[in-house]
Amino acid sequence: MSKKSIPQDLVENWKRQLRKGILELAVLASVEENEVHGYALINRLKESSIPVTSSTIYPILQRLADNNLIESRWAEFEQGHPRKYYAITDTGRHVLAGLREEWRNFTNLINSILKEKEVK
Amino acid sequence: MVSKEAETMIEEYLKKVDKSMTGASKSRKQEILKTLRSHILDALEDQKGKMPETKIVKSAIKDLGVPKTERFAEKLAPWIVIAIVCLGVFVLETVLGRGYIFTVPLFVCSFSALGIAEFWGRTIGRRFENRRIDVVGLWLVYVVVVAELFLLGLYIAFPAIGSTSILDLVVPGSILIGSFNPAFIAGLLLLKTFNALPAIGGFSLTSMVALIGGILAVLMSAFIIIAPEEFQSKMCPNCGKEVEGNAKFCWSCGEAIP
Repeated sequence: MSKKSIPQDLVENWKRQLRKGILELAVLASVEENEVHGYALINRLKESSIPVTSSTIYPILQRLADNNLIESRWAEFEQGHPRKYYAITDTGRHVLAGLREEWRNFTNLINSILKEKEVK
Repeated sequence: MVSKEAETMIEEYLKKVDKSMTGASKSRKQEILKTLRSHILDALEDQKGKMPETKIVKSAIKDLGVPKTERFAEKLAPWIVIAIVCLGVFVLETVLGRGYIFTVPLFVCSFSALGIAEFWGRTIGRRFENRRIDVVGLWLVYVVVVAELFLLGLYIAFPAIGSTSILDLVVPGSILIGSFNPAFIAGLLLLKTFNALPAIGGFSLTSMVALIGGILAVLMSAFIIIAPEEFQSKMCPNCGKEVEGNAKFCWSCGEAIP
């Protein structure tokens, strides 16, 4: 099949699904070191070339908090508005370690399949 | 310091979000609204000087997603179904040549019941933020339509039952149901006016009513064909509220939509 005939919508859809699947991992990993507020988190992900919108991230944060993987607190400032900071919990760290391992195994597996095909 | 225009935009947006979150508790609502406000203010702080404040707010709001509290096309869907059913009954009665015994009561019953359901959902249902009340209203419509079709079936199968006994039940019943509906009262007055006029161009009052219904059904069907995406909606897996076809999360409870 020539490159021109690749159905772009299928590729885009696949990319979207892939991104969707790894977003929780990306969010968890982003709050692992330091607590971070929503806006900064979105910027951080965008800087890492993960295109996300606020309407995607906030529900994920909410879901992670509901599952006790992250916790949030409101920080008040003398100057400026209050901000909601998110930080990973102990359960979150435990889950993140597991997800990391899964991700490594998965990418190794896929890489080995892709390599096999390339060699052939 | 945020400009007055930007502040107004933020307030209007938050009001809209607040109104759309019918399934969330008060504390959850406050938490979400506070988070959204904080996000917009962060965007303002981050991008200050790069573009006008109103543009920054607009862009942040767009990114957060603007809830649609009213979807006109979705509201039309039950009306379309009923109009098509009415047209079917009208055609059947025309073919059978037994007069429009069921067409008019069906129109009156179903449209007035649907009117009540709508009225109910927008007033009492909204006030109590109780989805079940809407469902009761919709069931009322379905029951009336099914009952009418059942009676029509009886009439076709057993013409000897005659129209009067059934009509004696259906017409007062429909008027009783319809009397709660302001739209029905207006319709009744309109019918009264038509009734006072002689048959126009060979059309009787009932056939005119049915014809108007038929045209309406055709127009609505055309609308569905032209803009099918307007009629696509999903249900939130968490709270069961309707969400837009392309929604990423539920505005009522915050659940991500697969």
